Amino acid sequence: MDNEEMMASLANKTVMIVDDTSFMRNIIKRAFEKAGCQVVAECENGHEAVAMYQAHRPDLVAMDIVMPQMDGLEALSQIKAMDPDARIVVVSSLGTEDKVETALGLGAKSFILKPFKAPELLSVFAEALAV
Amino acid sequence: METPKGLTAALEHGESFVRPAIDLLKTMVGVEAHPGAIHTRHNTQPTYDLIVVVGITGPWKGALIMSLNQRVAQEMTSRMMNGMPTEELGLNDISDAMAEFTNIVAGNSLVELMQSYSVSLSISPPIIISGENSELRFAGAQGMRVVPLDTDLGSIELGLTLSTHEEFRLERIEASGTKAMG
Repeated sequence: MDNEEMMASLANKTVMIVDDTSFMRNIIKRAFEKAGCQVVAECENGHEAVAMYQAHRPDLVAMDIVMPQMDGLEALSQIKAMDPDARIVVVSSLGTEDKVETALGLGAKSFILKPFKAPELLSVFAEALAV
Repeated sequence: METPKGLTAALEHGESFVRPAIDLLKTMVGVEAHPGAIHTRHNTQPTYDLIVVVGITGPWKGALIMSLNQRVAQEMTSRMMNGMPTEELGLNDISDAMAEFTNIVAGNSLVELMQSYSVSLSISPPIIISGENSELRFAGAQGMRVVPLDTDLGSIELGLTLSTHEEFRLERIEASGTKAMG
């Protein structure tokens, strides 16, 4: 997928960002907004993510793993139980083999290791829309 | 309790946490970091007044501890936020950025540790401690391995404490401000 196709596929898509630091949420938000996406929800933990997914049904979800109260893998599991078609990409610093396998096994479309560059992030999300 | 050989080696060498920190300082902050000698400190007391603690969980328990002066943290945050003027940054912005930075160092370090020593570990959300005379103690810890990182912005200290002690936990924090992220 070239850059033009990638930007076209992401344009006007709704996105939910789940990460416990506002610093990372802002980085991800800026990348999506430059691609023409609409960020409809930002969440600090898995509990919020499950509730906000139900309320907004976004096209895409960026999900951190290590968060207080409920981690991203549990939230991923609960969201996929609610909506098997949910398109969730895990964005985490913890790219250990077991975490990646668990995330993909629970139905994540892909896994991005922090730190990342914005084009890499957008490319993975565009591919998540295509499959 | 006898310390497993892998854990001892992981602490002695320290590459697992130093290399990711140097790489991230370059890519996320845009500064070159020059590591000093890795050495053992017989307690877990960090040197500087802003402290970020990321817990390590699994068969090895422990923490990665980053400490730095608030002024250095402010400069790092400014650079991580595309040059946002330091006077516009609040303590929450700085805490958040330092939490994310340390979280990524810890996550990336764990990948190396797990690959090198065939152990399954995870991390817990960062805790930020700010204020002079902060005191940090862990039950079950036998000191920590420490490396100073010198940068153009100032010094940063990284500490790693690991234990197989079942009772390992953060026991005491004394500081003017403590914030668990999230």
